[in-house]
Amino acid sequence: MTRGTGGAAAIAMVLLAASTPAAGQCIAHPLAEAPGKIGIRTASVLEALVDFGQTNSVCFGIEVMDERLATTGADWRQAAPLKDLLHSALSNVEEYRFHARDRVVSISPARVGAPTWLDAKIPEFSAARRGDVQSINNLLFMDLVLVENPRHGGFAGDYLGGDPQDQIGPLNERDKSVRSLLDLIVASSKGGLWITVGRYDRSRALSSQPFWQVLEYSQPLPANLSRMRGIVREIQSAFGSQQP
Amino acid sequence: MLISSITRSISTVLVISTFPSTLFCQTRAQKPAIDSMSEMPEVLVAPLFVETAGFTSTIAMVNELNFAVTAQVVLFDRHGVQITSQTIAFPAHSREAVLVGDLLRQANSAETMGSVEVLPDPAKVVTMAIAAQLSIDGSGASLGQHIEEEFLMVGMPGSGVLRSAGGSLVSNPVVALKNTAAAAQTATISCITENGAATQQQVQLVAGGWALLSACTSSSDAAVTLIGDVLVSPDQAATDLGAFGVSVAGSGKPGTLAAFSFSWHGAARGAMLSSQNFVDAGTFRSGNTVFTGVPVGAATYLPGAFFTPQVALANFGAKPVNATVLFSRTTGSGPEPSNVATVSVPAMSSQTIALPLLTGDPGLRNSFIVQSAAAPGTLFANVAAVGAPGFGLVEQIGKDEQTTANGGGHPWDLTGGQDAVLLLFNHSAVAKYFNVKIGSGGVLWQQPYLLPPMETQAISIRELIAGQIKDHDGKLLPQSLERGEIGWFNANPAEGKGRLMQIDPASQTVAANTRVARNFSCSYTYVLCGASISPDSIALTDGGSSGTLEVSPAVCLSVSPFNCSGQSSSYGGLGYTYEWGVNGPAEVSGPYTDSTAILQGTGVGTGYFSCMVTSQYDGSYCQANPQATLIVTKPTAVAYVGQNAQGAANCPAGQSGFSRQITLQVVDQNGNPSPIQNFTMTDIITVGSPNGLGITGTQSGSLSGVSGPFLDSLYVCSSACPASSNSTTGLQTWTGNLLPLGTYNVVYKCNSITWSGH
Repeated sequence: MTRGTGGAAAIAMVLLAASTPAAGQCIAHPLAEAPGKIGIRTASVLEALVDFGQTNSVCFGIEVMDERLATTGADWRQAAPLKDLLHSALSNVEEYRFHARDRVVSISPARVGAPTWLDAKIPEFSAARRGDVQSINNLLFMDLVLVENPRHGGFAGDYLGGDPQDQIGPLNERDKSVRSLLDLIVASSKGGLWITVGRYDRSRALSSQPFWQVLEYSQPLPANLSRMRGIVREIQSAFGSQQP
Repeated sequence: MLISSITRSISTVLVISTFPSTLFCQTRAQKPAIDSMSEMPEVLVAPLFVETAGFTSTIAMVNELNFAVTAQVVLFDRHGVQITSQTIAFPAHSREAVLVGDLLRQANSAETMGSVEVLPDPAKVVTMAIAAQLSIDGSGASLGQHIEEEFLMVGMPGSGVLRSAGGSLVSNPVVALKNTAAAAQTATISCITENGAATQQQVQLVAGGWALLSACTSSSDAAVTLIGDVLVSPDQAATDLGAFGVSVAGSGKPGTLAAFSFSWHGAARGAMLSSQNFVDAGTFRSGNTVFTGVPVGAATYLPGAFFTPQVALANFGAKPVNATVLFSRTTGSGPEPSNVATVSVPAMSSQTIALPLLTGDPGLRNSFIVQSAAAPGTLFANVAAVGAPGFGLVEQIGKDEQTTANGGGHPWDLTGGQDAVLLLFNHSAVAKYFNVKIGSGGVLWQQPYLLPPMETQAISIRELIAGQIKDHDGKLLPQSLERGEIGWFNANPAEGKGRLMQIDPASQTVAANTRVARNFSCSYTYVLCGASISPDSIALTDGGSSGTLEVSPAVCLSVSPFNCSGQSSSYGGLGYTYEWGVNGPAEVSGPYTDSTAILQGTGVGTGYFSCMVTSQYDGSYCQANPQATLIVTKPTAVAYVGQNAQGAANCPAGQSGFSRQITLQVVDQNGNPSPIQNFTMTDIITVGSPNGLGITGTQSGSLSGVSGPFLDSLYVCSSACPASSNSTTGLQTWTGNLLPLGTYNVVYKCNSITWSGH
C-alpha cells in the first residue's frame, strides 16, 4: 500500500479513491514479483497461473484463443521474476503475449484480430450496492447481453459457488470495455483472475452463459485448481482439433 | 489371481482379524522357528572399560521401543566383582549416555579397567530393544585415539566360537574376556597373522570371571595387569605382522563368553588404535561380508583428509578360500559396482589385499562386499580407511550379507558442532526401501528412502534438522534437537545394511590430526507384527472414487525374523508386499499391489476392504490383513440445506429484482448427505409457466470440485420489477458428474425467490 506523506498527498488519495474503487489484494508491479521459493509443476500453463497468482497475490486476465495454454505443461521450480517465468512459459506457446494492465497481468493473443466481445463497451455498468464478486460478474454479463439485445426484458437464473465475503462495489462505470470491467472486478476483489472459456469473437451471438469465468483467490487453492482443471477441459472441448 | 493368492495364504497361515474395523491383526510365520530364541531378559555385556592413562570410557545406549523403559548399568572390576550400578531411564526412541568415570567416582572406586553389563528392566524389555556401545577415548598425547566396543547380547545362540579380523598389526592384540556363565570355563584364543606364526593360548575363567591378555603370542605370561602399558603407541620400528585373525572359543555353553580386543594398526603417520569386535562364527549365514559407507579418497563429511581403504582377510577354515572384493561407488548417475580384487587365501592364514587406486564418492557413498564361497563364519574380513592427515582410522564392523537382522539403532549427538551421518547400502539385486526413524523422546521423524541395487546413501542428521526437511507425514525435527536415536529397517532381512558415522567437529584440531569418526552399527530384528488402514472407514458414491487409502505396518522388535511378534517399535514403513482386496460394491481402481490404493464404487451397499501386508524371509513370512468398512451410495437428489443471504439484486439499468443465496447438497437414495468427491455440479434453468416477469433469458451454472454442500445464488432482474407482484417459475434440472439429480421448481418474484418450496 502506498503511504501518504502529507496533507496534499492524503487529499489526492481521497480523490483517487472516490473515482476508482479501492484496490483489492492484487499486488502492484506484478511482473516484477519474484517469490523466494517456487515449486510449481502442472499439466497446463493455466493451472500454474492459478497456483502462482493465488500464492503471490498476482491477478491475471487471460484471453484464450486456442487450446495451447491448456495443453502445455509448466515447470516452475526455479525462483525467478514472474516476467521471466511467463516469458519462458509462453515461448512454448507461441502467439501469446503478456503485459501488465495496472495491477492485472494480461495474457492475450499477440496478433490483434477481429473485434471480440471483450472489446464491447458497456454504456453503464452500475452496482448501487456492494455485492459479492460473482454477483457483480453476473451483472456484467447481463449488461453485455443488453448491449447485444437492448430489448431483453428480464433475466433469471443462478450461479454456483463463489465467496460471499468477497464483496466489491458500489460501482458506476461508463463506456468501459468488458475487458477493463473484468480487470476492475478482480482488482477490486480479494484477488483473482478472469479467463475466457469459449469462443468470443464478436461475429458470434452470445450464448446463455458468460464466455468467461472469474476465480477468487479467497477460495482454497485446491478448489481453484480443481476449477481451473474443469476450465481446461472446457477449453480443450471448445478449441480441440475436432472443433471448427 | 487375486483370489487364488489369498486362498493360498489362508491355507497355510493363521489369519487373525476382526470385522468391521480391524486396526491391528497379526499372523504367524509359516515356517517354525528353527533358530529363534524364545523371549528372554536382555543382558548386554562389554568386556572392557578403561579409565586410566588418559583414556576414559563412555557408554552410549539407545532404546528402540516406542515406550519408556529403564536399564541398569553395572560396572565390574578386574576380578569380576560388582563395583556399582546405576538405573538409567529411557524415553521412547531415545539415547542416553553414561560416563564410566562418573560411576567410579560415585562408588569411590580406583579401578582402572573391568567390564560393564547393561540390564534392561526384565518386566518391560523382553526383546533386544536396548543397544549399547562403549567408546574408549584418549586425551593428551593420545588425543584422537579411540576404541569402539559394541555390547554383546548374553545368551545369543551360536557356535560359541567368536572371531574377528584386522590389519597392519604392529603390537599384540589385547583381548578382554568375560565369562557370563554361572560355572567356570576355559577360553582358547587362537591367532593367525600374515607375517608370523600361528599361536594358541588358554585361560581359565571362574564364574563371572574376567581376563585381559595379550594374544598372538606364545608367551606363558600373557596377562595384562597394567592397561596403560598397552595403550602406549608402539614405536615406528615395530614389526608389522600384517593381516590377522583372532578366534576365541569357550568351553561353556554358547553365548556365555564375551570377548573384545584392540590392537595397534600401523601407518605412516604413526600407529592408531584399532577395535576388534568379535562375532560368533555360528551366526553367519553366508560367506559374504558387507562394509557400508567407506571413505575413499576425499570425503566431504570428513574434511581435510584423504582416505585409503585397506582390506584384510583371515581364513579360519581348513581349505583355501577364493575371495573377490566388490567395490560399489554411487555417483550422480547411480551406483557403479565393480570387482576390484580377487585373491586366494590359504587355509588358516591371514592376508592383506592389495587394492588398485580407487576413486570414491566424496559423499561417503562407497561400499564394499567381500564375497567368497567359503563356509559361513570361516572367512572374516576387515575393511578400514586410513585418513591422512586429519582423521585416523575409520573402521566399521563387517556385516554378514545374509544376517537375520534387518535394521539398526544408533545414538547420535550434534552437540559441540558434531555431525552424524546415517549410511545405508542396498546390496540386493532390486530396489529396496530403507525406513528411517529419528527419535528423541516425544519426537519421531519417519521417512522411507528407496535405494536402487548397489546404491549407498548418506543422510546427515544435521542437514535434516538445519534444512527443516519434512518426513513422510510432514513432521519436522525441532531445530533445538541435538541428541537422539536413529533407527532404520528394511521390510525383510538380507536386503540392506546401515550404520551411523558420528563425526567429531572439524574445529577440534585438524593440525593435530585428532578428529574422530566413530562407527555405530548395532543391529536389530524388526518384524511385521500388524497393520492398519487409514482411513478405517470410507463412504463413496456409485461410480465415484475414494481418496487415497494407505496401509501402514506395525513394526515390532523381535528375537528372530521367524517370530512375527515382539515389542512395539513404530508404525509405518514401506517395502513389504501388498495385496488389496474388496468385498462389497467397489473395486480397486489402478494398482492393487502398492501400499496405497484407490477404490471406485461399483454399486450401492456396504462391505469391507482389506490389504494383505507380507514380509518374507527364507521361506517364512509374517502377514497382517487389516480390514476397513466400505459404504457405497448413489447420489440421487439435491436437497436444501439453508439460506445464506437474500435481498435486492444488482440489476442492469432499467431493471430491478431479487437475489437469494442458498446452500444445497447432494443426497443419496436414503436422503442422507452423499459422500461425493470432486463432483462437477451443473444445472440448467428453463422458464416455465407462469412467466409473469417476462423473463427472456436464463443463466445457469456449473461448479467443479464439489465434495459437500455448495452455494447456489438465484437471482431475477426484470423491467417489470419492482412494481409487479407476478411471478415466473423456473425449472432447475441438476446433474452431478453427469448423473441426473432431479428437477426442482424455482419461483421468482420481484421481492422473493423460493426454491422447491423453501
